[in-house]
Amino acid sequence: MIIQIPKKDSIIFPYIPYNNKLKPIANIKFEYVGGKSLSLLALIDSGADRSCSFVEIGERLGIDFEDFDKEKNVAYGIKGDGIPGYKAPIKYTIGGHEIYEEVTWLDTKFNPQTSYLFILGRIKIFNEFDVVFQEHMKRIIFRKV
Amino acid sequence: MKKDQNLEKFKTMDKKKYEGKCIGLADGKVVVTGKDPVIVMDELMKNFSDKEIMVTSIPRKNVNFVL
Repeated sequence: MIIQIPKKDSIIFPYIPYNNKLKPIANIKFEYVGGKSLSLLALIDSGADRSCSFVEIGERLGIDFEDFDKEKNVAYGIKGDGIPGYKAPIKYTIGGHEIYEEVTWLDTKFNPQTSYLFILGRIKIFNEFDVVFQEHMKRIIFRKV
Repeated sequence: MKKDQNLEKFKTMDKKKYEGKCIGLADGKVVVTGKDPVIVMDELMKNFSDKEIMVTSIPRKNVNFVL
């Protein structure tokens, strides 16, 4: 059975090819100094509780991490090793909807060989939207709750 | 919703030569590349802030997100 999602009020992100694989990616926009905006492509990860990114990215988006407490183990890698970092809120828009979310910021060097700049986790975004992965159509649909 | 020209460019472009790097796009064109996202973001914000700008990374083949 195919679930029918009304197209009206839905945001549809077709999967994007990365290295011969199709990935569920959303385009999210951040505002930085002077009211200007910068888009980042975020991997939608239903297995991640929280959204996360890197301290060096957050700083460029205007977060002053001195205002937040550093945590020794803010996240855990696949080998179970703790990663230091911060939890700090940021505002971004997705499909024109404004989201204000406490994001986990990893205080470790970003490695472009292995990492995406931003991971959209479940806690906030999946509460604000019904999120449907339509794997057979290679797309993901967000519908505001 | 208005189409984002950077996203449209990214969907169709040949990404092979950018594997393992970050890329910055402005108004549908790749304008900055490099391994350091901070440098790419700084360059975009400094020199292309009057345009639509986007930054992303292109992890290498067969690598998924690793914390």
